[in-house]
Amino acid sequence: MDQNRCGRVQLAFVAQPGPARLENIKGKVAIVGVGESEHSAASGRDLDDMIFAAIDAALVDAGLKPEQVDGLMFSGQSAGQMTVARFRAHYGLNHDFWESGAGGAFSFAATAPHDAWAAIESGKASVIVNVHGTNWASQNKADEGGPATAHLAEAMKANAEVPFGFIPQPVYFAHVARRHFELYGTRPEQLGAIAVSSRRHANGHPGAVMRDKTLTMEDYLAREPFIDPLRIEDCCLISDGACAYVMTAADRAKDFPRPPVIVEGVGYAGAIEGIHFAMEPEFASTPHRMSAPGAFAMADLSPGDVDVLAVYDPFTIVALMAIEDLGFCPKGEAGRFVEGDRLWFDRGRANGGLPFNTHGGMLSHAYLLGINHVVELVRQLRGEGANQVADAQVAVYGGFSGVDAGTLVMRRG
Amino acid sequence: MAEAKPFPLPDVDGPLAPLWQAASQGEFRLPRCQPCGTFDWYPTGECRACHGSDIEWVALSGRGTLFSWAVVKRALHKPLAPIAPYVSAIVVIDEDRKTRFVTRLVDCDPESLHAGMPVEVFFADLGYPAVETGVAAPLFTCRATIERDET
Ligand SMILES: [Zn+2]
Repeated sequence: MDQNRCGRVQLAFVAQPGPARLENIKGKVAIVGVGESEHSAASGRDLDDMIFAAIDAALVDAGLKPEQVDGLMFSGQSAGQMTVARFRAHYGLNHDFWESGAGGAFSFAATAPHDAWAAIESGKASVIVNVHGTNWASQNKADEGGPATAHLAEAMKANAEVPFGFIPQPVYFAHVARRHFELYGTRPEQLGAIAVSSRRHANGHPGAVMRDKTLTMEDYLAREPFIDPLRIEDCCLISDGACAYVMTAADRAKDFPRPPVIVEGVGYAGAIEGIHFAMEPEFASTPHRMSAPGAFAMADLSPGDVDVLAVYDPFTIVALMAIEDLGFCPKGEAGRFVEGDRLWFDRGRANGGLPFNTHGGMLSHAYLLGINHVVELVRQLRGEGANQVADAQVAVYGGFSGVDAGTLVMRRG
Repeated sequence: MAEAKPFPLPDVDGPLAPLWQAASQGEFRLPRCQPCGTFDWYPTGECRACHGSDIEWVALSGRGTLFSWAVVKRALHKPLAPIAPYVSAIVVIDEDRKTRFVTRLVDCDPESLHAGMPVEVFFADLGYPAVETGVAAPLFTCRATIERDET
């Protein structure tokens, strides 16, 4: 993509430490279409092809033609994402577009509706597609890129962390897990409960990369930790694939074929020390603790109202901390909270459960950086889930990137 | 077969030159604001507390406590393979409870580790004990190990 533009977008959205003050958009934006490419391990597929497959599917789902789209959101911080020029060229269009690099996946899959509303309200766009794709699986196989690339290039990491062996991400989060163990008495089998619950959901989801591979607690505990205390099953997949969702003004949602999903609340917060995780004051927690309160306040809801939760889960320990930092249990108690069938889609809130990552998450569905989580929650709220949560009315996505968190509260329209 | 990438060495003349040059002299130094005493780690050149810029790399006792650790049995970053298995660690320095230093713990039994245990700097080649890199580094070891060796 255009390097100058990439730089400008990135500079504009460097996470500031602490919670962001966001405009109240409760009830203003609807998600009216979702779409996915096929997700897989390393496939050699072209990133553009996967991105357009996801957009095509989302437009069909929303009953839209490409010429009806006038806004595009993508990640300005990730390589190879959608641009207006490519969108126009692919569909043979020449009309004006509003665009934003503060979309895509990670925390921005949660906050995109906030920025979309600003564009809709000011008349710059009316139908906005947010899209993200990745070919990290293929890149990783070719030893070309992947999640560690940016970290290896950062001056402090290169001079004060990498030489000691503090790289890549599984090493950081093994330290986080260990600290959580030491502070709160969290145990490996509690991380295992997240891995096993996620896999169970993937086994029931036809789109999940791990749909055919089972994982029991016995399997989990029998595996030797490779970056102790983390096992391979504590780490997310690396995948090829893409997802997209379509946003418009909530008062137009009735014009679309599928049941609408209404955005009720959005929150966002930056980590205090940014990319230098080792110095983060609250080391065994996530910025969800600063992002979630604003989102729930905007929605006028609380964690107790949530029927289905999806969190960005690069590691089991991040998902475990997200559950407590989002407020679903007191800080430090998520280890006990997630045990047994608590997270299973079919236990449900009425029975004391918390249906969690019902598609399998990044641990077992696909490493689509969280935008796949939003797609799954939209399907849950429409009643179309492969692992459907009974009478799902309210859903929350907890997005994360290591340096920030975004919270998205949605309800069935 | 592709040639293995070299062990990831710091730029000893780069942004953290004072740390690495001190290590080569057997000293453990970190940057501290002279007027107010706040550590500037990682260095920004501007004090986080008083916003002053009078920052000096001061010699420390080299003593601290273990904050967290991970036993890396398989190095995912291939250039680190020559030191695996190794114990990656974060240490809190005795001079300031808020300042954490990323390092490697050596000559300790991983099973004996716990948060808060006393550790001490141990200057050795960065590749200790497996490869010679020619760069002296502030590694850490358990204080109990040192005390045992001295008796
Ligand atoms: Zn100062």
